[in-house]
Amino acid sequence: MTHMRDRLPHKGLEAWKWSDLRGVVGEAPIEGLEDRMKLRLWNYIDFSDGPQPAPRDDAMGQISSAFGGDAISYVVPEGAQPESPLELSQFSAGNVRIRVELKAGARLQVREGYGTTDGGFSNVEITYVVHDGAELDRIVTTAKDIDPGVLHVRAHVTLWNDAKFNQTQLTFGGKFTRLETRIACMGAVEVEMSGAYLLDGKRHADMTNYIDFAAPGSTVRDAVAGVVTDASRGVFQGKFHVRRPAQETDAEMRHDALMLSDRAKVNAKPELEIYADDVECAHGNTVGQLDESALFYMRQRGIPLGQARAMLLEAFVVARLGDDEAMAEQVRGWLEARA
Amino acid sequence: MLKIQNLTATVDDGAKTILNGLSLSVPAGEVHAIMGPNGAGKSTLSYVLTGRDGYDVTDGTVTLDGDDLLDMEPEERAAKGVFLSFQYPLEIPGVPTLTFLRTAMNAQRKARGEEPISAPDFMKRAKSLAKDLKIKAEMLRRPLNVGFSGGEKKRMEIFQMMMLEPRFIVMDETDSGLDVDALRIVADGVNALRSPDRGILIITHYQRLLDYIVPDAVHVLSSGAIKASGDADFAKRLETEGYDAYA
Ligand SMILES: Nc1ncnc2c1ncn2[C@@H]1O[C@H](COP(=O)(O)OP(=O)(O)O)[C@@H](O)[C@H]1O
Ligand SMILES: [Mg+2]
Repeated sequence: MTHMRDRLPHKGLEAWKWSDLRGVVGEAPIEGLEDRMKLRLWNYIDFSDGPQPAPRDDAMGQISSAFGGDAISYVVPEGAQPESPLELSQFSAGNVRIRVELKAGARLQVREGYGTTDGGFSNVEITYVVHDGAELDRIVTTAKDIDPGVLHVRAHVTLWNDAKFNQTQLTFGGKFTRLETRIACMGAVEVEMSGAYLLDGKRHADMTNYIDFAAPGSTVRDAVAGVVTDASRGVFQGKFHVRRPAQETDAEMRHDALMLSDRAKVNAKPELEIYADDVECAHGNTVGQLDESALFYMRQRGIPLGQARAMLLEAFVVARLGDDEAMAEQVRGWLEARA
Repeated sequence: MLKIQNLTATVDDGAKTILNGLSLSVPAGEVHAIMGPNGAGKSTLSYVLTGRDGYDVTDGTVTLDGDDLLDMEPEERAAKGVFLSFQYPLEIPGVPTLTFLRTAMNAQRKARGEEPISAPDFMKRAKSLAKDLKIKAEMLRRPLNVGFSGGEKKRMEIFQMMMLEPRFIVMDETDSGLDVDALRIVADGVNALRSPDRGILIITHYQRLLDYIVPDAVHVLSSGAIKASGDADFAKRLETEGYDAYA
């Protein structure tokens, strides 16, 4: 299927200029699901099958429908609030499409865990529709110690009135990793997004968030933290697109990265496109190094350099990632092994 | 205890000499004060003693109980008992004060081959010292020095010092920015630490701290060297006469 390679987005496209998917895929096979995706449900929830997602006409959308076949589709009924999360895990190669719909007042946590195989190509298109007053917690992690392959995950999230969406993403990158989240705010909604990428070797990770405000009164917080070392590359692209009716939008976007090596790279593009006049939108972006004087202060108190570095980095990442203990533990493990 | 001989230190790859043949001895059990004009090299001395990057020692020696300090990493010097109360304490974002201090204490203990302090023992000591220093429990849970006022930071330096019980203490202008009440609290803390096997070097601009902590000797540091020494009364004379005679 090598001709598919020619359809892949490449660095000549603005939205992919720092994440050259075509350049990296090479001869990797592009294939279907082949039973490699498991959807795990930890307790019985009366999900019904849902409709197929609308077709998407861009290259990644076409590839996932051509090779992924029918989407896996679930509906969480009105008002249902299962206590256990929906787990999507053990996916390591192929194309898959998923659709999850939360009816009004429903509440669900989804934990997506992705991996890749060496030289593999994983492509996930996931659609969430969150109806009035429903709340979705989405937690995305990519495997820490994997043979790095190519992973592309794109979520399309539609939020209706009074919906809440909380997203936490943690990645250690891969040969190529892109986690893209596209949100449409169709009513007054609340969104909290946090993410962190920790990269070493020649790994690559891209967090791209696009938020489209179509109605008044939404609140969005989006914070991404990055730590890059060796010759790795981190990419952050964030955009708030505030349409004319979306008055009283209150939206903030932050990206902060620390570079631990001269050879590492960070590319960041926070963007605002605003057509409404009564809004509060802000973005901030910093790329820096660990504070040498703080490190000296810690060493003067007896904390060895490596441990001092790990403490500052952990604080930096965890402050932005929120208080998910399992994730904090993963972050700690990664930092300790590299401090 | 601390012996500094002919210490010469430069910055900017030797372009600028800041310490210029400085010699000083602080015997165990004594408190010495260093006074001197702005830019004399007082903070530089404190950094060279503690091993901060950016300074090249081009001549001289520094020993603590006969061990060569200049050969050690900053954390090794700390484990040997060298403590610096910073003129400008650093902010450590995201690391709660007590977490920081317990990590530091246990890192020092580990380096000395000692057992870590138990959590209850640590908390007991922290609580009682915080009370003595009038530090609120709430402050100990906040990230170290983040958003603290100048005075709070200085008090926190003393708190760390008393928790860590160092053997040799350097205090760099701990008194500046403190009101009289805070000054007294700090002085009480330092006086409590005076002991036959501990040495203390107080760098200060003002004689007033030395009313509370009476030093065994007072030295004038000017242009990177000790230019004169005397007893506690010498500090009073310096304050009225200034340092012009020692330039
Ligand atoms: N890292 C440095 N690079 C260049 N000049 C320095 C550096 N540190 C100190 N100095 C200079 O050395 C002199 C002594 O500084 P410092 O030790 O801070 O003086 P003091 O504490 O006595 O006021 C000053 O002229 C200061 O500007
Ligand atoms: Mg100074």
